[in-house]
Amino acid sequence: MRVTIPASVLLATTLLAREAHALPFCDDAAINPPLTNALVVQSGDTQEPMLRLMSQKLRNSAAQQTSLIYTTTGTCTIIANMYDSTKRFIAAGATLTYAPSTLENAAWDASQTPSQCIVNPAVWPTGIPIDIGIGATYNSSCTAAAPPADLGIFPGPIAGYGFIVPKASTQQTLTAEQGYFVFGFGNLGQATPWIDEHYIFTRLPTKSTALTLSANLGVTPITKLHGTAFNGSTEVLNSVAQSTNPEKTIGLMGTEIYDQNRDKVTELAFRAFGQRYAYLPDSSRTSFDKKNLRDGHYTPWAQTIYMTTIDAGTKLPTNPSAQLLIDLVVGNTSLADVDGLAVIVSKGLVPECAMKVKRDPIDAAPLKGYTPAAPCSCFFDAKVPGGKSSCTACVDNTPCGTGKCRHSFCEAQ
Amino acid sequence: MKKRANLSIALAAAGALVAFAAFAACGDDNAVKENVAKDSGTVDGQSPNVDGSGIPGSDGSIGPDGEIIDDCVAKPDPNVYTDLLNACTTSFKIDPHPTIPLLFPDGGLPPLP
Repeated sequence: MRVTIPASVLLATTLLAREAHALPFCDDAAINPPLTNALVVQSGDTQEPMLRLMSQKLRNSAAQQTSLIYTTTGTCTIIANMYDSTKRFIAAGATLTYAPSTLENAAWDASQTPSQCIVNPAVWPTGIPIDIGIGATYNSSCTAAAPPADLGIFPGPIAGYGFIVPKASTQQTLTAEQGYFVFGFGNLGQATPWIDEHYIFTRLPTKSTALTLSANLGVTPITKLHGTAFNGSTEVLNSVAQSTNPEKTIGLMGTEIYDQNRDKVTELAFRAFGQRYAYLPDSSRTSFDKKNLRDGHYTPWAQTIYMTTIDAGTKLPTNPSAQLLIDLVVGNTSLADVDGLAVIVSKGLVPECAMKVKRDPIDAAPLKGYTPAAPCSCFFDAKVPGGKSSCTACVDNTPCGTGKCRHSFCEAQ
Repeated sequence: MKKRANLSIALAAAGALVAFAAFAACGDDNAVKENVAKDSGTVDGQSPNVDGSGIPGSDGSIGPDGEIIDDCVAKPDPNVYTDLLNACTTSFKIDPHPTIPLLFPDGGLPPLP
């Protein structure tokens, strides 16, 4: 469908967009290197730590320079956009985010504020096409519809979710039964100390964080979730961290976001229905190994889903840059100067090849044992912050006996 | 949808009952009890109770099929959901004892309001 926009409206929109934000347009030639042939991503905000770093790596890549620019919104909104080819656009005048190149800011790292640009209405009057939508939980939590034939669904890394409290809180655990009453009954739940919805900080119902965590508590449908709902993870983080009543305060948070903010809030150990003890995603409060998430002791997690337009015949992404990003995050490929697996591991995500359990693509579905065909657990253990691996380092299969050399470590197969 | 949600809750509650029935009589010296100092449990793979079986986290008897050891499941390759949840591990863990007044005496959950 082609929409014709009057020139006067276009000019006014263009001027307003530029003046309102004082940001460059995304096609501005002064951006170095230019954001030409950009890979446009719309993603859940829990994936932003990974996207910042991946954007930097790809933007500076000599092997395959790619300008990954992104915007964040709720997973259900992304799915709705990607399932309808007429909606696979980010609106003219919208703000997109990208990592500055080394040429622009050699000192920039992914913990710093990234660059932004405006979708130029004069260039993209009906919006800039979305190349990849990244949902941060299973599509089934948002829609029962099958994806359209031209949309490819590619399972990505695993994302953890959890419950956070202020540093000053004495609380250490949340059981699923407690959570059922805290988040399902709100002020009426009597599950002390979380009995005041003013201090129960949640996310909007289109957000993966709310969907996955509520499903793990049996609080479904999502409309039953009680609390003060925010649009973004940062708002929940700040509300919990700065609460004036720490003991009564609890919030929902993606593990990737929590891992970047461990100095500000505390994550609660979680005990699922039918479980004896409560566990953190990691083996201890100071580690980043996601051991419990990977082996089935910590249940609130979901698989990220990468959605992109595919060729009707080959079923492969029509955009080679989209294929590259997917291959990087699942470990199918790496560039000489971009190790995709290392990027996602460093930002709190778990590649499927490092998992020992899996579940059907439904939030909170029971876990099953899993042995990946090409495991990467040794690599994962070595690459997480502060990580170490007891596996033998290798460059080929020679030192691996009956095992196989994968990502520079001897794996069992 | 309502029926599916109720079924999920019923299954979850049943699972919880089975698990607690299985573990109710078990002692636990490894887990951190609630309301104690944070990070006072096992840390970074160092378990205080690795028994002779080489399976960390177990400190009791092995059942006739070599599976249940006190408060954790010691199968070498657990696959069933409740076995995975309760598999023996060296990870930091906490034994929660929350007060939940609205929980039914049998551990069941009332429907959501």
